[in-house]
Amino acid sequence: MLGFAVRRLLTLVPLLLIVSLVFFLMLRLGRGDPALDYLRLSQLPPTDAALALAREQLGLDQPLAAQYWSWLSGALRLDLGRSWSTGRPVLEEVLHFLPASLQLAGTALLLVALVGLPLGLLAALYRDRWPDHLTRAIAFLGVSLPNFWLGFLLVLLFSVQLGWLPAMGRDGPASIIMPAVATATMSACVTLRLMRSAVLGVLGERHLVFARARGLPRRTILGRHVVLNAMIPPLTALGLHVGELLGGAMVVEMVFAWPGLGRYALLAITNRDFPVLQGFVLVMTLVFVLCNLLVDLAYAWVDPRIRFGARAA
Amino acid sequence: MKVRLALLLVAVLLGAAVFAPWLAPFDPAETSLASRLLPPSALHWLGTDHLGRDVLSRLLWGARASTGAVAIILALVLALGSLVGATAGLLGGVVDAMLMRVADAFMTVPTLVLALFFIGALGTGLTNVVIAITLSHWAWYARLVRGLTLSLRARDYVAAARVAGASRLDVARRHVLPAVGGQLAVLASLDLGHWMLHVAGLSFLGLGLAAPAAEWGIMINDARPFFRVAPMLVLLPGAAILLTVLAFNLLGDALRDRLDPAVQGHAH
Amino acid sequence: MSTLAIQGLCVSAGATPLVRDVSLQLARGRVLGLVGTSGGGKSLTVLAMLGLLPPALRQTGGQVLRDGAVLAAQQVAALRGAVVGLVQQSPRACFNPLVTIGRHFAETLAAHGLARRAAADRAAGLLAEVGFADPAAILASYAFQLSGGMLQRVMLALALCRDPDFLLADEPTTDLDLAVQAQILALLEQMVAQRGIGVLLVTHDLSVIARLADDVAVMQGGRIVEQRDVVGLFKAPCHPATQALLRTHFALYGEATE
Repeated sequence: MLGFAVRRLLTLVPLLLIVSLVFFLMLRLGRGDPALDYLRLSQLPPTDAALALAREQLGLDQPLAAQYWSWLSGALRLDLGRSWSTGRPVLEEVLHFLPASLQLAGTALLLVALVGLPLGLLAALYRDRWPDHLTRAIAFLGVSLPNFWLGFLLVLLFSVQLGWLPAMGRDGPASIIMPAVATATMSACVTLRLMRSAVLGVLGERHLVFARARGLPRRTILGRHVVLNAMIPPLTALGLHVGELLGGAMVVEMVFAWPGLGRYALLAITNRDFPVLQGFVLVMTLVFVLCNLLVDLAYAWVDPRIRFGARAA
Repeated sequence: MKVRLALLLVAVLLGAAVFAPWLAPFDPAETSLASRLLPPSALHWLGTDHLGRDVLSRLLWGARASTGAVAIILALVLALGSLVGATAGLLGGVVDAMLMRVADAFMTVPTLVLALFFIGALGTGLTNVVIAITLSHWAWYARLVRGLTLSLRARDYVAAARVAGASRLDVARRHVLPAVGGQLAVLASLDLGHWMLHVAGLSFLGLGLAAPAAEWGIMINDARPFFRVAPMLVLLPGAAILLTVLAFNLLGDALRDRLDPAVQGHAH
Repeated sequence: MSTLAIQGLCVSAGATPLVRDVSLQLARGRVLGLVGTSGGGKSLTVLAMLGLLPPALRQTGGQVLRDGAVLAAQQVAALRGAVVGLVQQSPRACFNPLVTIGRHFAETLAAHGLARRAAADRAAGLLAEVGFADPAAILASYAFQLSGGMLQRVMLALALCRDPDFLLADEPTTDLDLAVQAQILALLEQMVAQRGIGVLLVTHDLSVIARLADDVAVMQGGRIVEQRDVVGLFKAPCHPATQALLRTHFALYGEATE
C-alpha cells in the first residue's frame, strides 16, 4: 500500500506543472491587460508612464516562457508572489483561509458518511415499506436542491425565526452546523441512493446464504457481510464527492460569510488579481489530489483485492 | 406514468422559457423606484424586487436564461463528446490512449473548481460559464461514444466474416444505436439537473450573467441584502430552480427505469 | 439413530410450483444421493431444509423433522451450522471477499462459543483434516487468493467446524477438475467414516452417486419419482426418468462396475 501511495504522489508533480502552466497561459492570453489590472488594484492612475513602469516591474515585456519560469522558480522556493490588492504574500493569505474551507468540507464529508450510509442501509432493509419510500423521497428532493438556496432556507428557519443558530461567520461550534448541512445535503442524498442499491445487491449474494447456513447471528451477518461489502461502491464514489464538497463549500461560504478560500478566490476573480489566482490554482490542485489519494487509500484498505492486485492463485 | 409526468413538467418549463416574452406581464428590466419591495398584489402577482421590477416577469425570463444555457451545454457536450469519442474509437492506438487520458483528467476535476479556474483565467460571463460546465462534463459522453464506435468497428470484422446476415448499417441501426442512444439519453437527462444547479450557482457567485439580467441565480444574489425584509425575493427564484431540477431529475429517473436494462432486471 | 427429514415440501414461485410434495430422510452414517436433471428443484430442497429459501419463493407446505419431531421455524434456524452443515457449488461466491479465511472460521466458531485461541486451533486442525499442509497460510489468505478446489475444501472444513451431525452437499464437485473432484469425494467418504455424519449429496453426476451413495432419490419436475438403495437403482431402475439418466450416463462413460 505504501508503494501505491508513493506512485500516486509521484504523478502529482507533473500534474501540478501542467495545470499551473495551462492556467498561466490562459491567464496571460486571456482578455484584459495585466498591467491595467495591477494599477487599478494598487489604486494608481493608469497613465502611460505608470503602465510602462508596471509592465517592467511585473516582467510583462518578457517572453511568456521566462515569465512562467520566474513564477515557477518562486513557487519552488514557496514564494507565490504578493497579492495585487492587499500586497501581502499570496501563500500566507491562502494558508490563512484554507483551514476554514477544509474544516467545512471535512465536516460536510463526515455528515455525508454518517447520514447517507445508515439511511441507505435502512432504506434497503425496509425495502418497499414506508421508511424506504420516505428516505427515497427525501433523497430525491435533496439531490435537486441548490446548496446555496438551502443555506438561505436554513438561515431563515434556524436563525431568523427560531434564533437557535448564528447566521454568519465562523465563531464557535454552532456556526458550522448550517453551512455543513447545506454543503453536505446533495452528496449525502447521492450516497444514500448508492448505499441502498449496494445493500440490495449484496443481499442477493451467495456468501450471505453460506453465512446464514453457518449459523452466524444476524448482527454479525449484517455488520461484517452486508454493510462492509455494500460500502465499497459508495466509498469509491466518495472520491467524486470530495471534489464536489470542496467546490460546494466555496459557494456555501458566500451565503454564510464563512471566511474560507472560496470568498478569497472569488474576490480575486472579480479583481483579476493574477498572483492570487495563480497561487490559488496551485494550492487547490494540490489539496484536491491529496484528498483523492486519501480516499483511494481508504478504499484500498477496506478491499483487499485492490491491495493485492486481485490475482487468483 | 413517471415518464409522462416528467415530460409534462419539462414541457411546462420549456413553455415558460420559450414564451416568456409573451407571458411576462412586465419588462423584466423595467425599474420603478416608487414600487420597490412590494408584496404580491393583483398588479404584481409575486411582488416587486428592490428596484421595483416585477418578480414574476423576471422569473419567467430567468427560465429562458437558465434553460437556454442548459440547452447550449447539452448541444456542446454531445458535440464535443461525440467528436472526441468517435475519433478515439476510429483511430485507435496512440491517439485513443492520449484522448482517453485527457478525458480522465477532465473527469476527475470537480465542476465548480474547474469553473473557478476557467473563469478566473478568462473572465466572467455566461459564455465562459457554459464553456466551463461543458469542459467538466464532455468526457463521460466521449467515453460512451467511443464505446459505440469500437463496437461498430467490431461489427465490421464480424460482418465481413459472416456468410449470411444483415448489413453493418442494419446491425448498427437495430442493435448498437438504440442501446447507446438510450444510454446517452439517460446520462444527459440525469445531467440536466446538475448543469442547471451549476449555472445557477455560478451566477449566484456573480460569475455568470451580469447584474441587470434576469437569471435565477443572480436574482438570489441581488436579494441577499434584503433577505430579512423580503425573504421571498430569495425563496422564489430558488424554488424555481428546485422545481426545474426536480423536473429534469424526474425525467432522468423515468428514462433510466425505462431504458436501462440493468435497472430493469433488478427492479423486483 | 439420529435422523433428519423433510416431509411434504412444496415450493412455488408465484403460481408456478417448483417443488411438489418432496420427502427425504437422512440418517447418520449414511449417504443419500439426490439426482435429477438441472432445474428439477434439488437445490431448493436443500435450502428449504435449513429454512434458507430465497424471499421471492414461497414454501407452501412441508416440515423439517429431527428424530421424528417436527421443528418450528426458529428451531430449524438453530440447526444451521451446529447440527447441519452446508456445502455448495462454485465455492468462490460463498466467501466474503473482504475478510480472511481465518476470520470466516473465527466468526463461525464464535457462534459456537469458542474464543479466539481455541477457535484458531480448531480451524487449523480442520484444515489439516481436509488436506492442507500449511493451515496457517490458508487462514491468513483471502478467498480470491485460493483456487476453486482449495476453496471447496475450506468450505467443507467450515461446514464441519461446529461438529454437525449432518451435511448437505449441493453439487460439491461441479465446476472442479477431475483430480480435485476425486479429492473432495475422498474427503467426503472420510468424513462419513470417521465422524459418522449423514450426508445429502445432490449431484447430476451418476458416477459420484455410484461411488458414495447408500441410497438414491431421483427428482424430476420437482417431484421424487424414485427412491431406493443405490445398487437396486443401477441394476433395475423403475421410473423412465431414472432409466433416461442411466442411459445417458453409460453412453458417456461406458458400463460402470460397482
